[in-house]
Amino acid sequence: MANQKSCQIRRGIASDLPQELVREVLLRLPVKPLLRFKCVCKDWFTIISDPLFAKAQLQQVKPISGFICKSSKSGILSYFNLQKGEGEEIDFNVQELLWENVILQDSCNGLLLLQEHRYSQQFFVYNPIIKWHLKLPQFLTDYKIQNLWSSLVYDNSNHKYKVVITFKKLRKRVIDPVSYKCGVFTLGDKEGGGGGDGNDYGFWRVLDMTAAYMLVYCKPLSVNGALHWMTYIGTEVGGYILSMDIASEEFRVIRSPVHPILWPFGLLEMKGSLGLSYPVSYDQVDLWVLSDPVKQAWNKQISINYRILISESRLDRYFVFYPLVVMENPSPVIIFYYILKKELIFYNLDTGEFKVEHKRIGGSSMATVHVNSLIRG
Amino acid sequence: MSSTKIFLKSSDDKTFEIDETAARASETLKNIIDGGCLDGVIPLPNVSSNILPKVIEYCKKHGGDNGSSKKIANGGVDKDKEILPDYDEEEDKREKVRVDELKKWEEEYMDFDQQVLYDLMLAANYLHIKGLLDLTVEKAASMIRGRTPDQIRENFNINSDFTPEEEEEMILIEDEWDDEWAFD
Repeated sequence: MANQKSCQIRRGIASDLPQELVREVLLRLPVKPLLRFKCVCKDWFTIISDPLFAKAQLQQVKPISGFICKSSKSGILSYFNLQKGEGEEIDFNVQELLWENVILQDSCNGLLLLQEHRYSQQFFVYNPIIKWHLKLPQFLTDYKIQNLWSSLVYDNSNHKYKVVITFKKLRKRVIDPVSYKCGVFTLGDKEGGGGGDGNDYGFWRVLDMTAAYMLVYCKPLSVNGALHWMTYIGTEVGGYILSMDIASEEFRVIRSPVHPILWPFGLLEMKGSLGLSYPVSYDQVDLWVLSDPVKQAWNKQISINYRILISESRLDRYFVFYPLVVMENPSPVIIFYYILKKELIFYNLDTGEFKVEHKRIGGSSMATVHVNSLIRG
Repeated sequence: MSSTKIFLKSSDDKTFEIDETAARASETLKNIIDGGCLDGVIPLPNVSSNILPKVIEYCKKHGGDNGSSKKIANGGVDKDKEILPDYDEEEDKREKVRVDELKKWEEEYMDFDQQVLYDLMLAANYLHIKGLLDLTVEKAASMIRGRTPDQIRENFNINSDFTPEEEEEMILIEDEWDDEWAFD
């Protein structure tokens, strides 16, 4: 009798683990096995499908796990995992949702911001892992405008996502001043928004960006709860960074340590602060970090010369290194995208060593930093 | 340092001895000790006599410092050290040796079968020993990482409680992902 009882206990081992412990164990797994494990049993299905689980799981993932970009094959987004070295590569087929000319605009916490095609004002937020998507209402269709960038950002104050489209109104005459604006859309803002039918019925708001600042061709960066744009004022020497608080949508100005005349200028997150990458010449960049946001003090971190990586041909000079991201772990590394060869270049900030990832990345778009997650907007 | 002895009684009525400093590795025991309710023996109705010695072994090693395992998990680098003005290289080396030694100890300590793993995880959870819980949870995760749902159900004795219709749907999901992601 006693024997039989202990036998029963033995049989139930894992299924008898309290749900909180099963959850703890599952939290340590990457997204890929998690999806497969949804079908182990109802308990596991419930745990893995929980939005709070998705959030906690994202926090376990290293801040930067890889890159995503449009593949040269139509309707395919390719993902490259950096953590596993050259190992993992996933092709996401987005054809069922979108079309050949889809533009990958941004990535945030595993969610992608996709644009129907270059001239469309139709945007989608899409998680390629769980194949969840949200169709946003059309953005300003009756204006004569030109979209510059589209960003997907996370508002920590209310745990919602916002799409921010930076655009300018087309001028009637050359002498008219350029006016830059932002279209802002909060996901799931309206009751029933983000409903089961895959549509969000919220609305776009348009904000004026502070006049007089001219935007530089440089992707806006979201760091420390604010979105940043690189700007300058007319003929004045010196640059300014315009920053919008993601929660309050208030703008402020940060003085830049350099004048943004050369391309590609890059805004980067470094050591949890705002940083920038400034091309001094065609083969050298300086990295700066905003060391004191209150006093607006900048520190020049390092000068990187990459002459050894490029040939002396004149053509090469026009195909620059585009700064993508700085990874802090295990050692600080800045990653450049070498546009000419579609390669990723890794520069170790501690040792000064270069590493080139020879695999060609990106068919028709630049690589975007991406983590895989189970998040729904 | 005082080495007051504490007595713990397992679910099957066996008594074990542990130093108070070691017992403090467990939040639960620490609260009982600090609460002054130390009336001879502490009964642990959720921990059996084949697991309790294992738990005590862990507590002895970590002697009240339940954060040390976390440091190891982070590669053993204590970031605060870098900004100390009297930063001592020798001290740093000794710390590294200590961390390496602890890592090796943990490896040997964690060498047991699945049944022990689950019992130990439950005990660590019940006694609130953060370091031990982290270790066991991490090990359990590494054991299931590369498996199929079928292997997991078999290995962990979980019954699929989906209805036949739900099951069919689940198989579809499973196949879809197997097609898109080659198995690693």
